[in-house]
Amino acid sequence: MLGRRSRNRREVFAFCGFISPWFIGFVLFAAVPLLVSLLMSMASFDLYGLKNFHWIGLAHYRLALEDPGTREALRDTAIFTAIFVPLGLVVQIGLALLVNSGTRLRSVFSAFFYLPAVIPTVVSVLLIWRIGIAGPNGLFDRVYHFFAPHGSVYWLDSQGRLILILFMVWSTAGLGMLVFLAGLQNVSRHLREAASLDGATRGQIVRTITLPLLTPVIFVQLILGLIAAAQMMIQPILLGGAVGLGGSPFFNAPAKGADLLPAHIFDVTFIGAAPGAGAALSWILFLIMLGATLVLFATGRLWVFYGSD
Amino acid sequence: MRIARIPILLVGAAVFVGPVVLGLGHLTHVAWGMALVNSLTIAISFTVLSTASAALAGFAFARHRVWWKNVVFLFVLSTLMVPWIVTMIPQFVIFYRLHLINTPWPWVLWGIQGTPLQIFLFRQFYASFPRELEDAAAIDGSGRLRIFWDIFVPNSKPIIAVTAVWGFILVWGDYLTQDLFFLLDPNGTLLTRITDVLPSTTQTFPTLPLALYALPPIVFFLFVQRYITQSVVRTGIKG
Amino acid sequence: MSEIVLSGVSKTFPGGAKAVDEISLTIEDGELMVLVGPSGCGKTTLLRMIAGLETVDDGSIRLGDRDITNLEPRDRDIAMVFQDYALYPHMNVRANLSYGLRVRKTPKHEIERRVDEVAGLLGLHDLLDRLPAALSGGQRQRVAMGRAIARRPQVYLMDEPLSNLDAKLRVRVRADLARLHAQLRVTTIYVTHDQVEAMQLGHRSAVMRDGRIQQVGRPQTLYRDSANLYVASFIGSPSMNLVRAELEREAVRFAGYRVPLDLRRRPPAGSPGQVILGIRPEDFEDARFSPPGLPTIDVEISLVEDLGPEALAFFALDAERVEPEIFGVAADRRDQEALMADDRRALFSATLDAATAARAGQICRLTVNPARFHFFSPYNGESLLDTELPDRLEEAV
Repeated sequence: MLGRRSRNRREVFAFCGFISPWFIGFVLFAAVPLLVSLLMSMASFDLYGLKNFHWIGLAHYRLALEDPGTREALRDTAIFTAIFVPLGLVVQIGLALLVNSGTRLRSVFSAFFYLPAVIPTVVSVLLIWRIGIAGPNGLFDRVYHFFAPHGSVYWLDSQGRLILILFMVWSTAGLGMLVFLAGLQNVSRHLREAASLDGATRGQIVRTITLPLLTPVIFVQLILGLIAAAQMMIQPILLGGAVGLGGSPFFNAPAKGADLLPAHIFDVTFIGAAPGAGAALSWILFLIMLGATLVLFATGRLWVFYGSD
Repeated sequence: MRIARIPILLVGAAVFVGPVVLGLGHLTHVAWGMALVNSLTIAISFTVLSTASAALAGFAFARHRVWWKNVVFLFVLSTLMVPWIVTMIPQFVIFYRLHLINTPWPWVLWGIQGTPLQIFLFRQFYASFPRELEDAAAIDGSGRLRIFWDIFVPNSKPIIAVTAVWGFILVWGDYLTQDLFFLLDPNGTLLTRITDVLPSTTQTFPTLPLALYALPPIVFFLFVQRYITQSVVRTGIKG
Repeated sequence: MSEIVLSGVSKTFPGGAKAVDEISLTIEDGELMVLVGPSGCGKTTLLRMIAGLETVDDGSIRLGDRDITNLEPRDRDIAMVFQDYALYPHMNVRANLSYGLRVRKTPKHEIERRVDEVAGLLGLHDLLDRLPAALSGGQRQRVAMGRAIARRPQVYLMDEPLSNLDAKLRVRVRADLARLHAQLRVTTIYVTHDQVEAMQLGHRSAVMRDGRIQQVGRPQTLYRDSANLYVASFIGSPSMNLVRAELEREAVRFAGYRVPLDLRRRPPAGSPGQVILGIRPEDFEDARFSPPGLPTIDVEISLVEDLGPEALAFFALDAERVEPEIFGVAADRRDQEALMADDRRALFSATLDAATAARAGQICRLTVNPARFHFFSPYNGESLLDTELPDRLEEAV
C-alpha cells in the first residue's frame, strides 16, 4: 500500500533527523579519526609540525610487540585490571548492600561515598593522594610509622601499583555503588523475606538470592570497569614516582608496576615524540579491549540471569 | 518555536558573569579571569549541547519504530570502547588544520555529538514512558518533534539533571583534553593553569583559583541534586 | 503442640497511628484461622509480626511452648505464602521447593523424598524443571504452597494467596486449600479482605478493623450473632439492612411497621428502647413462598434485579436512613444509596425466590424472620443481644 510505504519512509526520515547531531559527530570525530589513526599507525612522522611523513606499513606493530617496554606495559595493565575490576566490584556491591539496609542515614552516607567521583581526577590525584595520603608525611606514612617507626617507604615509588589500585577503587566506588543500589531496588523485598523465613542466614541470602539476581548489573559494571581500565592514561602519570621536569606533572614517569598501557602510549607519543608508534600501540589496545568485551559477552550468557520478575 | 529559552538564559548568564569575574581577576592576576571564562565557556556549551543532542538521540532510539535502530545503537555504544587516545591525535590534527585550536569550538562540536552514556541514559528513561502518551498526541495531530518537545521533554527533568551534571563534570575536570587543545594559548583554562602551578607549590597555595575552580561544579550539583536521587532509581538497570 | 497465643500484641507506626492495637488471640493447634478486614486494618501487619518480618512493640507471641516474640524469622519454624508468591525467579521449581531444606542442610535423600511428596500432592511433577517465569498464575501459587509444605513447619501463614487469581480459579483453589488443610492438619493463619473467603475457609475468623479484633468466631456465629454494627455490615453480601427502631416488650416498631419479636432473641429487659434493627436481605422472602406463621410486612418495591437463582428486590422504608459511616461501619455496602441520591429514606434490599411476582411500583407482601433479627445500640454500635460468644473451638474438626 502506498500509504504505508510513505509512512515508513517518514518514520525513517524523522529518525535520521533526530540522530543527526550524534551521527555527524560520530563520522567526524569517531569514524574518520579512527581511520586516520589506523593510517597513522602505519607511518612515521614528527609530532611537532607533522612533517617528515613516511609510510612504513606494519613495522610499528612488529616493533611494538618486541619492545620490552610494551611487554611491561601489557603485564602491568593485565595485573592491574585483574585486581582492580573484581576489587572494585566487591567494594561497590558491599557499599550498596550496606547503604541499602540502613535506614534514614542512607542518603547522607551515599552522598559521602559519591563525593570522590565528583571531584575531577586531577584535583583528587594531585591534591589528595599525592600530597595528603601517599606522599611524604601523608596518611599512609603516619600509619606506617605507627607500626614500624624506623622503616620508611616511598609509597608512590615502590608501591605505585598498590596506590593506583587504591586510588581508582576509591574514586569509582561511589558511582558504582549508586548503580548497584538502583539494581538492588529491583530485587523484591519479599524474596529476601521468603528466604529468611525458609531459614537462610543473612550471608546465605546474599549469596543465593541477592547476588544471582544482581548479575545483570554486575555484568554491565564489569564491562564498564574494563573500559575504565583501558582509558587510564593520566592517573598513572600523575601519580608517578619521581617528580618530573618543569612545572607540568606530565613529564612524570609512572611508577614501577603502574605503567599501564594507555599511559605508556601517551609516553611514547608525546615524550618519545613517535606518534606513529603511539597510534599502533593504541590500536593494539583497542583490539585487546574488543576481544575481552566479546569474550565477556559470550560467557555472559552462562552466568547472567535476565528476566527476573 | 519557543525552544531556546534556557540556552539563551545560560549563555546570557555566562556573558554577564564573565566580565564580572574578569574584573575580580584583576585583583590577583588578570589571566585567571580569562582562564575561568574559557573553562566556563567550554563546560557550559558542552553541557547544554550534549544534553540536547543526547535527549534527541535517546528519544529516537527509544520511541521510533525503525527496525535497524538497535544496530545503530550498537555503534553508539561501541564508541565507548575506543580509548580516547586512539582518536585524540587525529582529532587534534583535524582541528589544527581548521585553525580551531585554542578556541572553544572543539567542545561545541563534541557537545553537538553527545556522549554514548548520556544517550544511553535518555534512551532507558524514555523507553519507560507509556505508549498512550504518544498515541494521544499523535491522534491530536502532533508530529514527532512536537511530541518530543511537548510531552517528553517536560517530563525529563530528572534525567536532564543527571546528564547535565555528568557532562559538566566531565569537561570541567578533563585536564588532558584542555591541555592539548589549548596548547598555545597563554591563558589556557582554569584547570590547566592550576595544574601548572600545583606540583611546585608548598608555600603559595593558589587558593583563589582553586576556589574559583571548585565553586561552579558544587553550585551546579547542589542546585540539581534533588532530581538526581529520584532519577537513578527510575532508570531501572536491568542489563 | 503448635498452638499460637498472642497476648496484647501491639505495633505503632512512626507518626503515632496504631497498626496493631493490643491484640490477644489464641489459635488452636491445627486450626485454620482467618484474619479478615478491609485494607489497612492491620491484618497483614499482624501476620508479618507472627512471621518475624515486623517487630513487636508490645506484647508477646507464643508458639507451642516457645516465646517467639523476638526470634529471627528463620528460627521460628514458620512458613509463609506471600501474596505475590515470591518465588525465587532464578531457580527452577525443584530448587524453589527445596530451598528451605537445602539451606538447613537437610540430607539429600530426604530433600528428594519431600520434593517428590509435595510435587505429588500438588500435581507439580511435570513442572519441576521449569523456571517461575514459565508458569501460569495458578501454577506459581501451587509452587508457593509447595515450598511452604515441603518444610513441614509448625505453622503456615498465608497472605491473601488467592487475590492474584481470576475468579473461577479462585473458587477452585479455595476448595483445594480447604481440602489440603483437612489433610495436613497444620495450624494455619490466613489473611484476606474477602469476607466470602473468610466464611468459606476458616474454622474461625477474626474480623479486624483499625488494628483491633472486632469479633472472633465460627462463620455461622459471625453471621448470625454479629457482635457489632461493623461485623454485621462487613459479613454477608448484600450487606445487612439497618433501620432505627423502637423496642417494645413483645414487638419492635420501625418505619410504621410493628413486628412481633421472637422472645428467645431479644435484648434483655431493661435495655433502652431506641435501637438499630438489623435484618439481612436473606431473611426476607416473598410471602407466597414462605412457610406460614412468619410475620409479614407490605412494602412498595422500587426495583427488582433478576440474578438468576434469586431476585434482589429493593424497597424504601418510611424511616430515615442509617448512615453507614456511623460507628465506622464497613463502607463497602453496595451503593444502593446512589440510586436514589435525593431520597433520604432507608433503602432495604431483600433476596427473594426467583419466581417472585414482585415488580417495581407494586406492593409486595414479604415475610420477615424475627429469629434472625439483630439489635444494636445506637450509641456505640454494639450488639444488644445477650448471646454467648464461644471463643474456643467446640468440636474437633
